[in-house]
Amino acid sequence: MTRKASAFILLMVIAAVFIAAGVMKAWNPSAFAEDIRNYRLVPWSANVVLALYLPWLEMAVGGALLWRKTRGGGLLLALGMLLGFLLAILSAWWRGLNISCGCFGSGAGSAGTSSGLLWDVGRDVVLLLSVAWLLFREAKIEKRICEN
Amino acid sequence: MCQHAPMWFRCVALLLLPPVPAFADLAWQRTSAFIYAEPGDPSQSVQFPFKNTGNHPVTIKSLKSSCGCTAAGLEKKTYQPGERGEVTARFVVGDRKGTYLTSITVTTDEAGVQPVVLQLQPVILPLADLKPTFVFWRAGESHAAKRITLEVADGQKATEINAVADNPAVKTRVVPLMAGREYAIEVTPDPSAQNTKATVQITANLTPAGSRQYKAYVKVK
Amino acid sequence: MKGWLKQAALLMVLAMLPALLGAWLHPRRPSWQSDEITVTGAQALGAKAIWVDARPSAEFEKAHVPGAISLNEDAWSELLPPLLDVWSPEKTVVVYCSSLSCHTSREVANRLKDEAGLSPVFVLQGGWEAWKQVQKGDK
Repeated sequence: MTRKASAFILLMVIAAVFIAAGVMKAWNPSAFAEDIRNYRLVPWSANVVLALYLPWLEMAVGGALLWRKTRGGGLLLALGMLLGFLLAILSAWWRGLNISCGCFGSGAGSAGTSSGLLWDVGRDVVLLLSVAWLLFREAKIEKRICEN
Repeated sequence: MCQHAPMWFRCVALLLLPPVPAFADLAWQRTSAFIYAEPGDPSQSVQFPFKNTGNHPVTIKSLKSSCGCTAAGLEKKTYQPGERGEVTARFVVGDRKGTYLTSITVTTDEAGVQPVVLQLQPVILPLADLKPTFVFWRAGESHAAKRITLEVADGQKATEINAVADNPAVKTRVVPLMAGREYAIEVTPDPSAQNTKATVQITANLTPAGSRQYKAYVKVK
Repeated sequence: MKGWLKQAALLMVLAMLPALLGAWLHPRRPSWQSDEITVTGAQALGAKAIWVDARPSAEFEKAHVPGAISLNEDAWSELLPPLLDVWSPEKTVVVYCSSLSCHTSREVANRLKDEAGLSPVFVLQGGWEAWKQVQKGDK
């Protein structure tokens, strides 16, 4: 498999993850607001804004990755969102908060465990590194196009 | 020339796969289970069988529940190579309603091995649901009838609904809204009733489940 | 890079439109009003507050907020009537469980609001642990 094909598959996977995550959270913003509240980082009104806005931003980012003209911006936003989420989850872990991450929607109560959060962190780091590599690659392609 | 996918890509692909239990030696038949019950049912138990597939005995050091509603037990703590065992999780249904997610974290004496999380997903749904379960009249408020709606769950059909208050100062009347599926229980206190309370006992004969009892509460200031 | 930032800004603006629609029309949109209250806020309610302890009965027996009523999902139908006896619309219900990460108080609060139609009902931020901290601080 060529490097180009690997990058394409990775792009599709990341786009699918973002779109799926956004759709599941958009289905029940009330439950998502409760999940964000569990992180105890911002006041309730900010939780509501994030719960209403983030799912659509995720879907927009996922869609943007599929189109050449918006890929760069989509990757940049994806990087920012994944970084923000990683910091939130590490902060919860550090403060010993027993929560479920709310990554793909929720509403069924909490069964957060330290091994569950470890998995969420691991998955986020992998996505972060993948997006970082794709961004780097995208920058190289753009540079080549400009020079030509 | 055809290039193989670089090593880093293959590692990323593997890490994106869903997690599998991290135990080196204990192999679990399942790590999650649903429980279906009605409110008021006795406690429900679920088994999580495992087998020691390693070459050394494994001792289960602790079973930690995420909630006081779930208790976990084992017949014994140490399992020899090839030996089978099971963790029994008991969920207290009580008067719970809705879907829940609880877990049991299993820690063994194996160095460097992450604890395994066994998940229990109880789904506790009444066969008929009352809303609201409490009706109230303020002081000075007119004693006009108030409604409690009884909705029968899918898969059930009500053949008869009875509603009786334990206080003669409170009258009840059952009004079918959709025969077999939805009913209104009209509650009307006496015009002269003051500082009165009552419990309305509702009996629903359901097919195929049989007879079920529900309670609603009345208060008049 | 400038081009990417413009794309990102456009995506952020595009996502605002369905978000605003959702804030207005979504059937499961969250309420703007928080249903949590701090210990100090709950104490300021004075006699208007009805304290509800959502912890298991054994923990309630050991210690609880003075005057609190026990109500948990293990024995909901048995424990609910005493709460309804003391409730009136002028009162504010404050539900607590053990700590910040305990969710039982929220489950009990939601049932009181959805099933019994009680209002207002708040969840005590930090639960029993927060209450004890404040008592220690006061001493």
